Amino acid sequence: MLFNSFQFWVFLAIVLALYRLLSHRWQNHMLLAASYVFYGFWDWRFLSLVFLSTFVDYWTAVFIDATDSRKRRRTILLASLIVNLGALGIFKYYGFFAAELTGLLGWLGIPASLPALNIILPVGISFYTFQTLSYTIDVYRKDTKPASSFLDFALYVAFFPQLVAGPIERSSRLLPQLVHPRQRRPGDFREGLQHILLGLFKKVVIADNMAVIVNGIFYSDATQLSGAECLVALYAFAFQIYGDFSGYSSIAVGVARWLGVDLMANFETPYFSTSIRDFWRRWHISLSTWLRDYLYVPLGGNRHGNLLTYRNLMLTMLLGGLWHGAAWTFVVWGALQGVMLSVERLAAARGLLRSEPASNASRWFRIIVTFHLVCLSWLLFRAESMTQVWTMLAAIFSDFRITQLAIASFAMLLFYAGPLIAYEAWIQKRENPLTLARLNWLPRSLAYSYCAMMLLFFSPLETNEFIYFQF
Amino acid sequence: MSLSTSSSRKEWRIAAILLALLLACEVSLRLSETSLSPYLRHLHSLPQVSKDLAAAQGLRILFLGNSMIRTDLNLDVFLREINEYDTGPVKPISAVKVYIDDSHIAEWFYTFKHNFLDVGSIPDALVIGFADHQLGDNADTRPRRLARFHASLADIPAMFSNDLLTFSDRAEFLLSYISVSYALRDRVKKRLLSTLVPYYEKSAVRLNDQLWQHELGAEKPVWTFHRLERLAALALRHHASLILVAMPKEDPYDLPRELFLKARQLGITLVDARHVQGLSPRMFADEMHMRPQGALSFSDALADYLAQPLRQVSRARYLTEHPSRASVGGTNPRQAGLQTYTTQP
Repeated sequence: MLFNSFQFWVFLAIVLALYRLLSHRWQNHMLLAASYVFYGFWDWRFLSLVFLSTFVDYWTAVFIDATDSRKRRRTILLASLIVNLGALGIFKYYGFFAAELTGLLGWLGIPASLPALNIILPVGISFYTFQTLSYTIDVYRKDTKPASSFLDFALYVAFFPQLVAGPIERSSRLLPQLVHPRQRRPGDFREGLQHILLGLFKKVVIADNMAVIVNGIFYSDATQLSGAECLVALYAFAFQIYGDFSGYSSIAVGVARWLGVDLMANFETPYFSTSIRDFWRRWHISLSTWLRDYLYVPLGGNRHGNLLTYRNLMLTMLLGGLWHGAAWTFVVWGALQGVMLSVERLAAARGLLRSEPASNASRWFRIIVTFHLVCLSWLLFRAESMTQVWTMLAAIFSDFRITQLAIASFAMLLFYAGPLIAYEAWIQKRENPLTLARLNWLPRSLAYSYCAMMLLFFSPLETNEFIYFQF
Repeated sequence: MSLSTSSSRKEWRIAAILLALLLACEVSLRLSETSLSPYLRHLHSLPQVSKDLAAAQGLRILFLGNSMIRTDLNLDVFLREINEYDTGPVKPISAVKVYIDDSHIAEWFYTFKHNFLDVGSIPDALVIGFADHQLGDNADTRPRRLARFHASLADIPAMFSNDLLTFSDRAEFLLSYISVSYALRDRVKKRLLSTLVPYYEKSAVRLNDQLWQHELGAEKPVWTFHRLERLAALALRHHASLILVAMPKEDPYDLPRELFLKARQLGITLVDARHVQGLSPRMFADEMHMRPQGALSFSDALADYLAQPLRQVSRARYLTEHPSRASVGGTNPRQAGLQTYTTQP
């Protein structure tokens, strides 16, 4: 069930109506059932994976908490990691590694054929696997206590607003909100509405319209494209992926808010970042903080000298790339992020790069450079193959013909994404993402009317899935 | 006044402004709908076209299709030429053409039913101009257009069980039935973007073409023709002969073998006009549509192609109206109107 489908809004209306009628305990039972229905709409068979993850992590946390033996705790944690990462590995990575290994063995002259599983990727598996992993690791580290109720924990895993594409919530933040009765707060409706409207605008108006440009150009024969067309396609993809993913997160936050639950902000105006490091503080925050806390820091972080810090950065970003998908383009994308972060760190250590820009001009210069570096990395993210990456890069740097398609695509980009850029520049200045919801009714009416009109007249003819569902 | 009361009043004000704006859009679009495009004017003229067909003398032909019928068929040339042939006992041949841009079999079915059969305007022959995949069941349905122009609430049971199978399509249909703004949103979008974005239409065609080619390449389509079967059955029930014309495009294209087999099985005349002698690529304005010079050439050729099938239709009607002659000749009039004239792939 997609957030941008009619089905979802009928579903949500029923859930909200029931929610208002029920007591806290029954609210949780109803939300759990609704979450399973929500997930089952994609493919009910994959609910078994959600059940498995819930069951395994609930009981491993209980067993870890019940013992003080370090060895025993570690063994139980390992069992949980094997089950969770095993499921993720089979469903997400087996096909990729099997094909690569077969290719490698063939290249070495050893004929081999690993069995193909031909299974589709269960929606949201990377998200809920990381969420449950963080819970078990937190209990192992004694950062959090295990959930006292299995049903509450099941709801923490399956809470429908964030089940399939995050934000990846920590148990310390989400679980208490589910366990304790939720109060109706005065700003819930208004602020939830802002999140939802903005999220729909980003997804339906920006991302889905950019998808037409991006797919149209990326599906073309790359050798026939001009550099300007390739560059506009890259810009369009930057806004497609941002609109798509941040739009989903925003709707998730808004819907949860209507249910009295606060989810973490997953994006904070990332295209106004002044460095790659800054970008990762603002982009997919729940994943980048997860990677920091459960991978980078345990690897040693920056505590063991420069060389090991760079190694840790590279490993973290490589695995971050692989988290997004089983393809070499994602691996190279992750590696590029690691290299850029390392170079930035080196430049900062040598005094070549200040942590904060010295002037407004320098800030804008850094924003533009960072945006273009991010766009460059998006090319790896979107391209179908490394050959396409090289061909498009070559076109950008050697054949910059400004064609009619490039002009039309750029004008559409400005038409759809221009107002969002202006809005984000404004909230960036105000340093409060909820500034709009707190405005007087008249400017708010105008802003909402603009969003509503754009949603009515400029949504695509077909409902498109969210890009991050495939991760 | 409490804080929460004041706050909820503000929320209601915002909702009221939004509602007023939506209503204003609805009213203004209802008033100015036909000025959005000549195509919409054509769709609004369908009741009159239907009346004209019903009132026509002689053998009545309804040409139905998409923008290819709009640009490629010069009705005057066709009528002038066809009436010079020996087209059977019912004379003269009269024809109207109905075109729905970017449409497929689903819309043609409901247009034929809603705008013609349901109002008693029954042609002797329904000539469908198509290309590529447009007769297959794979073609998308367009709930918004169906709701606004080509179907009524009475069509809902058939539509919901055959064509609009998803919740989303059904919701789209109902919303579009209620709201013109919703039904025409793609028209408004196209009109605004054509004004604001330089080279919009040309670029949109190029991008859509790439998307379509990619979609085609992604998986080999399985060809089924249930909608065509339903259209054939509907036409048969009303004694209208169904003739399919595969239209020419700038570049040659393939038709699935299954279509020829299905046409033969249903006893439908399928005229393969993909390759018309004398029609050159420079007679096309784009990949699909002809320039006026191409339309002259094609319409002339089409008269030639349709002369024989229409002679059969004419004879069938004549025999229906004069059953005594049928018994003399020993021919079943219905069968006579439905003889197959199928060109093999």
